[in-house]
Amino acid sequence: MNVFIIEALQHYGYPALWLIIFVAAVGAPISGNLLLYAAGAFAAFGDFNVFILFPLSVSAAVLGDNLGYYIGHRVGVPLLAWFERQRRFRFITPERLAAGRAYFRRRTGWAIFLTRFLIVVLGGPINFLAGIDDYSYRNFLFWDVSGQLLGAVIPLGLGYAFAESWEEMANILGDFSGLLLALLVALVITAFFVRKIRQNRKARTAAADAGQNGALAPTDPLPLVESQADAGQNGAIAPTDLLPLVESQADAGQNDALPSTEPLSLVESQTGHDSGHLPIPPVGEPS
Amino acid sequence: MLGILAFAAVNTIQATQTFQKQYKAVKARDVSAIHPWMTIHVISHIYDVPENYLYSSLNLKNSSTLDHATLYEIASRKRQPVNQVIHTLQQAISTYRRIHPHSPTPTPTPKARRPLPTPGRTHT
Repeated sequence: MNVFIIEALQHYGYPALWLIIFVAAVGAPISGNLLLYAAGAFAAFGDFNVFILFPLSVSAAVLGDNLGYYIGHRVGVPLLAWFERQRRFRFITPERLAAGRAYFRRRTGWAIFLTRFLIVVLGGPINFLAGIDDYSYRNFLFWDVSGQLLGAVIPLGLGYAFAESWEEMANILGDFSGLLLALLVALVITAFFVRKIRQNRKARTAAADAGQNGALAPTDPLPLVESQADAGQNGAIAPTDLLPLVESQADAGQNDALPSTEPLSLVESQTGHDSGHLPIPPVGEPS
Repeated sequence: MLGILAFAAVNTIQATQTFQKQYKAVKARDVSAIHPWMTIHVISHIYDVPENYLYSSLNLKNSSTLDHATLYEIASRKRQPVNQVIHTLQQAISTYRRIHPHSPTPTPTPKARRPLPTPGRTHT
């Protein structure tokens, strides 16, 4: 691929450069960045003018990004709606999609900006996602142009400065970008697990507190129900409002799944006792 | 995850070391720094050897079609492995240096270069 890119650049000059960068910006798996390093290097040897290369590459990249955004806007929205309707993709629930979109919306500007020059490989997907999410076009354009100015200056400048070794310089930046991406993924995964552990710890503490206090008054059963549901314990429980516990236990996949059609019988059997706190029969067994 | 991180970090360090090695070789005008992406013009520029001399060492005529040909392309035209073309050029540069030890040939002037085929390209 590198050979093809460099030969196209050498033989067809600026039009080839513009076209390749445009196609790469739309999302094709071509390294537009590598081409800019090469173009910067050949400019240092007198084959190109760096002052023409710069606006040319920025315009190609921005137009390509805009096309990606437009495709996301036009094709992505119905595609997403179709995904939501499909039962076979049950892991992509509407709630999860909404949570993902809200997460993306909070960081779209930075995501657009940083993927123009730092984690270039994610540039195409981010344009598409911004289009799907109906991100403000004005903001998209602002972050895109700002990022692409850097995205053109860095490889062109480094290619020009280290003309004889531009390939090795491009490798450094590519590997560094991969390292950043790996760090980012590691950070996201770590943050997810830390949050999970904190939630579990909080639930366990609440359950322990509830256990120390002993029985709860039948009028105030909800905190206990919730904390026990989180902790997955079968301790004392009030006769009212058992449905959240049943649901959460079923979600957590603990004690085997309780049939969601049976909570009423469970409630009825427990309300038969006159004690304020009643032991829950092992979930899954008929009550 | 840690494995991937370590792999990426090692790759980055190795790329930095390779760059340093290549950069030093180029600065020292070491012929081992010739790469397949280079054109004859680029090699002539880096090693201060006339383009015509390099073309003749490859038994090629300096034609406009070869003006922007990389060593990859020259090798495929000559139906030779690119390493062999590089080796021939390395030997030619070493020979030229032995013949002209103290008089490095100036880089070809802009006039010596042929016009580029694509409109809009600048000529130097």
